[in-house]
Amino acid sequence: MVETHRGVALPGRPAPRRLGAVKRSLEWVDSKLAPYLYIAPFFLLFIGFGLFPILFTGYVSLTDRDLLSPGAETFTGLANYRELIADDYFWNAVKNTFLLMAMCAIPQLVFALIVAHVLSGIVRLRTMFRMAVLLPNVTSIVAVTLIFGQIFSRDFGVINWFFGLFGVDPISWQAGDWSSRLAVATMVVWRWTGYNALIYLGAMQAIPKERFEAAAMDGAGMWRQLWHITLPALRPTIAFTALVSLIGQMQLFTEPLLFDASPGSVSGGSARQFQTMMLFMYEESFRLGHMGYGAAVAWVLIQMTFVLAAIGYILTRRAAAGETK
Amino acid sequence: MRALRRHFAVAGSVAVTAVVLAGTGCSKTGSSADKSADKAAAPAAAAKAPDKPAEPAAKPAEPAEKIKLTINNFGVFGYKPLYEEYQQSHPNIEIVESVSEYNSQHSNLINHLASGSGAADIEAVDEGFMAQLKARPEQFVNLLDLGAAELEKNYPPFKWQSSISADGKRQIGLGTDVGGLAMCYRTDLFAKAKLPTDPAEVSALWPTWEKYVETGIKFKAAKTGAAFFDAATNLYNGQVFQLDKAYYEPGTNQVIAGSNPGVKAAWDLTMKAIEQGLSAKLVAWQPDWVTGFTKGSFATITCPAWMNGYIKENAPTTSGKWNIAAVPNAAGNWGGSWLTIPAQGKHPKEAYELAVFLTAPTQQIKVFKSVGNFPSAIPAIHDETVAGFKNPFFNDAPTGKIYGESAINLKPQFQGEKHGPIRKAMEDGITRVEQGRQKSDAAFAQSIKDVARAAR
Repeated sequence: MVETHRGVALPGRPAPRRLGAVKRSLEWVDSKLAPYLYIAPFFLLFIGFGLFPILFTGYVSLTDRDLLSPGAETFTGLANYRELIADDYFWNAVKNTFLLMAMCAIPQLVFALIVAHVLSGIVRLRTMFRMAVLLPNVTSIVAVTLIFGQIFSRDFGVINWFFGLFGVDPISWQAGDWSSRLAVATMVVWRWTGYNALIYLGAMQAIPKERFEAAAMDGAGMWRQLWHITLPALRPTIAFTALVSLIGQMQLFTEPLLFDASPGSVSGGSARQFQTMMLFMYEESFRLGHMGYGAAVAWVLIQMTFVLAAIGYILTRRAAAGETK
Repeated sequence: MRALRRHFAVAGSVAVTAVVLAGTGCSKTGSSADKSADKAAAPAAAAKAPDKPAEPAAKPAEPAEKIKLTINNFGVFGYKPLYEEYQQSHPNIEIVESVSEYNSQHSNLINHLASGSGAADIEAVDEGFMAQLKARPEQFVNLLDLGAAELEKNYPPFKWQSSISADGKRQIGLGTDVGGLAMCYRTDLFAKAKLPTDPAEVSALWPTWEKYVETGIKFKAAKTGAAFFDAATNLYNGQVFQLDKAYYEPGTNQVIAGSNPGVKAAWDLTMKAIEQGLSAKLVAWQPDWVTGFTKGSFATITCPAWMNGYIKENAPTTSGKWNIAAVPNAAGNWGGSWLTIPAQGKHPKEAYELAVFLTAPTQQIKVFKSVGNFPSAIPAIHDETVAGFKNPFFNDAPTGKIYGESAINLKPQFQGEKHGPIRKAMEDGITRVEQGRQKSDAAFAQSIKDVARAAR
């Protein structure tokens, strides 16, 4: 913005006194006001649909408010937050969210890197392959979850059938703590690997070819090249994708919601074994009608995301700085 | 057809059964069937014949200028032809219907009520959400103010009481259909286990739930390879439906789930059945459960009327292998809807006239014939087309009679605002025992804690 001011305003300066008042004010509009008008649509939308809901949620979190009796809320200060801190089910949801974050983000980025590396080596039908890895990402998330629900089913699921070939007893995937989380993580990894792979692929193509050629002449194989040339060059990109997927994981909702298909369930399994924070918030606000309490969960979620984003930002800066050295 | 969506209907939701102020349960039902049929049909008849000036009901409903009435429902209500019929007799009314999926219908309705605008003139509400919504009767037009009291005798007591406010002074819905409750069973598996296969004899096997579990133990001993029932939660809910009071002290907001001996007895019998290995340990609506119908994973399942269509659709190859007996104690209900009129609407009077027309026994019979939704009005239940209906997929089981009786026999039960989440907390406890995560006592204690949390 500052640059724009200078760029536009400076050339006009030499002859300001001869300009009429109208022209001067027009110039003022052009140089001082216009930039703000240009960016206004974004900020207006952001205030209306971003900032206001966040602040209003903050207000609701300080009240005891029922879903179906809006306006009848009583101000309770920080009571919801005090209750939240002592709530085992909330901490269970936090734990599940972070466990799933690790179980989803790490494999997803590792696989994405491998896929991108393989893709960059493919010469024939390259567009087709690149489109193909993105397919899981554009598939309806509901369909994905339903299909995986069948794959992971106890009696007639493909995975248990396969294990059965080796004499393993059927696993009740949804009933267990880790088995259910693994199933949910699989859905997420399957969905997002291709997306991240394409981002990596884009970054890989910016790496000068000469480096690879030189390495090849020195006898470095495909995987050695990946480790010593591609990876270091991709550091900022990896930091970026890690940050984006971590933030995305904070909001994990649809997969655990639909994986538990039992009547009206929003608890993420019979013992809340895969209930995430978003699911917990949904349960409190919309199933139990505790809007105030749900809003408090939302606010804690926002703050955790901010902290995570800040850490990620610092790491990304470092990674980028490391790159330019 | 409807059943598939209906399944989410109940699936997405929570609750079941009826609601009622136990004290006000009315009992004048059966005998006056014919008379009440005439009365309830009166507005409908009036609607069909607007040219007869003598008909009083049609006149006040006819607005002076053209108005648009909106109606939101879900799944298959089968109302299309009825709208045309109504519009022909009410030229100044234009009906606009919007059909959505079960869950979005109810979450949209709740959002519209919460924000104070956007709801249709008539909104359909399923039993799974009724307990929650009737706890906020001020959000809806009180139909008693518009003369709905005369319709009470048309409905089984449980159906009428399910949509009435806790103080009994505000009626928010007119019943469309009911689920009723019966026991579907596999004749092939029963024959294998040397149990009788004729519905009358099978019904005689289990006059009570204890006898049902005993039959299950016999079935299990015959080692057919199938479990006796699909999920322990269905056995539990079947019993809880029939209690005079379940989770709430009638007419109050006091939760008694933990202290009610009826609930504990239902829980204990369910636990006995699990210990005896009678359950297939499935969770309803999960893929295994759906496939289980075809593969014969279980021999019996508690079966509301809409489940018949669901089984036929999901396990078409099992045609002729099923039959339908009465549920123990021969009473129950699972599912069924009402038409409500949100208070924010602009045309409550006209909407009411239309809702009365759509839910009149004559129309319920037409809907039963066209899409199969089981009527909730007693005159319709007693109508020859409904009462005499036999389902060929189920070996010509007399489903019309079975479901009708189970709905009429069901005692009204008071359901408080959080009935749905409370029921879910109890079900989760049973599932934890089935999955081997907890022992009965620990599961019960945790469920009761979760109940208190849901109701807080």
